[in-house]
Amino acid sequence: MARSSSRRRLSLLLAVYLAVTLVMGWRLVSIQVVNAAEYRGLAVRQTQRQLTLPARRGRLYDRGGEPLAMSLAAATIYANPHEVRSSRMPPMVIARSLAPLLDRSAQDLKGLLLGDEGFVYLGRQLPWRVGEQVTALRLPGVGVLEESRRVYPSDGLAAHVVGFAGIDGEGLAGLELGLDPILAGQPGALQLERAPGGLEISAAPRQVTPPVPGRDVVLTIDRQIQSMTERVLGDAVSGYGAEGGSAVVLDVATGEVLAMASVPTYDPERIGNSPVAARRNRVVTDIFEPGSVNKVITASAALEEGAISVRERLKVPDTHRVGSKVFSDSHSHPTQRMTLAEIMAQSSNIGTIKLAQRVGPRRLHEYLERFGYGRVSGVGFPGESAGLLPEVNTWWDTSLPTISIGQGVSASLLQVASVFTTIASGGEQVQPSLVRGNVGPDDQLRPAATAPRRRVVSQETADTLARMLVGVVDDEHGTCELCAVPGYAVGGKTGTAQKPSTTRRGYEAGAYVGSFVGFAPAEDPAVVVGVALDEPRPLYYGGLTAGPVFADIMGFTLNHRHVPPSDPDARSAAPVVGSAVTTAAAGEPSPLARSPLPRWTRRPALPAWVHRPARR
Amino acid sequence: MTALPVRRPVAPRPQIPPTRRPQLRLVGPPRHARRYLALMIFVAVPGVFGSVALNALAAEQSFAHRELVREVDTLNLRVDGLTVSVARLEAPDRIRRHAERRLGMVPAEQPAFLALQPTRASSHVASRPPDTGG
Repeated sequence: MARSSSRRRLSLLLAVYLAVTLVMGWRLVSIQVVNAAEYRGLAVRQTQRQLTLPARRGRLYDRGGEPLAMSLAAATIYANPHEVRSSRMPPMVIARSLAPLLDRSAQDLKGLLLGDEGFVYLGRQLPWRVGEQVTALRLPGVGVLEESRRVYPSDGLAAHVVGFAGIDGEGLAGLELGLDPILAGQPGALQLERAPGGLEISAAPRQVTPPVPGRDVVLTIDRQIQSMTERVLGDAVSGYGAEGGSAVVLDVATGEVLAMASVPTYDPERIGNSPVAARRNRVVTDIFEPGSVNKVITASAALEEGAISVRERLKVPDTHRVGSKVFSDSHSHPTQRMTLAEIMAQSSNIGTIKLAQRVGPRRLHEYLERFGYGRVSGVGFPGESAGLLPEVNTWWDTSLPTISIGQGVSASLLQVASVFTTIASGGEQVQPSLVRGNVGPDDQLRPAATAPRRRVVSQETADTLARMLVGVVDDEHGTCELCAVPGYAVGGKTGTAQKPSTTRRGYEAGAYVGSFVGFAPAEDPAVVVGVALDEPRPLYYGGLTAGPVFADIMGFTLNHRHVPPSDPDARSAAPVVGSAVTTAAAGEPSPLARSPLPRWTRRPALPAWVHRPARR
Repeated sequence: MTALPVRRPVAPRPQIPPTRRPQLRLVGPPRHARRYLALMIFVAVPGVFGSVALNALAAEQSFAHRELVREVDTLNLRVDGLTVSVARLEAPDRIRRHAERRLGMVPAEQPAFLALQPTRASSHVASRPPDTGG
């Protein structure tokens, strides 16, 4: 009897033991196997703390190594209202202490300090010394974070090209946006162990994944030329009371953009103070009807297709009817017999229309496409416009004459300047570029891929046309005497085009875009400059308004780049431009291309990035 | 009638002859115990102290390392700040304003170009009045 009772007790105990063991075993399996990931996560959250280490955003340099955009450490002041409320210090006292440092009213700050959130920003991206002052105050519930602030140390120079970055360091406009994948880098992480109270265990091992800093990018912009271009363009826009203006300077040999300016401009460090319209890079995003500048394409097509010879004289009246529309030259004149050179020099509409009629609509459309109309230039600028080139099967009777003189078709100033680069470089189009290369972790410049080149017209056609375009400036009947640059032979073309109406069909009365695009020195072109003024008043002819701006920019650029002046004997030997010019233009590369070393290697000091301390 | 249980005769227990138990004596500590103890103290105490000291040293170095990193960061900040200041001071527009307003400088005249030839030296001088500067 006693034995069986004892056995029962033993069995019961064993059962209980087994049950407890099973429960514990199940719990163990549950914790270690079934819900392992969840518990591991919980443990990590309790004991580990992960901080994101922001990557240093790459800098933007001009071609000489001067910084155009860089990041500086800035202090961001935050508060934890829960901590503020639970502290002994009254919120108003905290607010009053912070107000003068953060340049905000104490009342505003008090409102933030008493909020319901666990985290509020009191001030972002303030100077670093403000953060140090706030830290020294040791205010409860108030902390300082390190952020980086984008600065543009050249006083907003090339603001339209460089663009700007947002408060979180992401590119928002211009090359800051376009080059964001290169500039941004990859953030790292720091894993810390912390005690239950949240304090960091300083002796505990830390796991660091270092951030990969963004790469620095070297642009093709020349700070000196850019500054000069912006100043001259700004003076012209304000002098003529124009709506705006744009200018671009291109290196003929490489297609590199040396300067790109738009007016009105803005300060990229104070974005909020500028109207949106002022932030447009008009050179690439705005399109306009190029007007007479476009006659260069018509003339190229005519020469290339053999529709006219250099010596042939066309019968040119001052008016000409096509379909229902009567076209006229800018001034009345008796019927003349004009060579192609004279048609270009005097910018005759009728002469150009007659040439276009010989070429035909399909061939003209093909040449417009070949010269780059209707597609982006490939310069790599975000928001670049492709322009408007109507398909040839949609052309009306009057489209051919209209488009041949640069109306009814739209292009950006960069596209138009690219046409002249093609003529100046012997018929080969070089893709314009804004990026010279990027600087890797070894502080060595990695040049960007060479800009692609493609032949648009033959060298003979390009050289012939280049010589003719000198007449626009040099010829007594030329349309732009004011475009002359002392010491240099200049070729180019004026443009004065009506602006299409934004409210109705047709053109805006009295609203013109005056432009001039040209190259120099004509015998061996090194630089192309394009200038367009939007609604200059009271003068509006391109030769009178954009021409002098062109001359100033071109003169400065040639001197700055040490381009030797044209041979005065060669210039005087031929009325348009003589044989000596032809030889040089045909055979030899640009003096910039002949230069044995890149310009920055000839600086007295090493480029800036060689001196830069090792990055974190 | 119930019979009384009969007691079974109990077998006499075998007499164990009294044996002489060994005399108890006090056992002293093992002969090598002190050595072991000394050895253990010799190993354990310095080990504990060494480990604590190493830990403290590591912590100190960790603080020193962190301090150095902070110092490098601060110096980098200073370099960046100075780079910005230099770039601002070197801004072409600022230099031009400074030269014109404070130093009383004027824009340069157009350069004159000399064309040197073996037989003669002719000069080609700009005819356009200077208006651009720079």
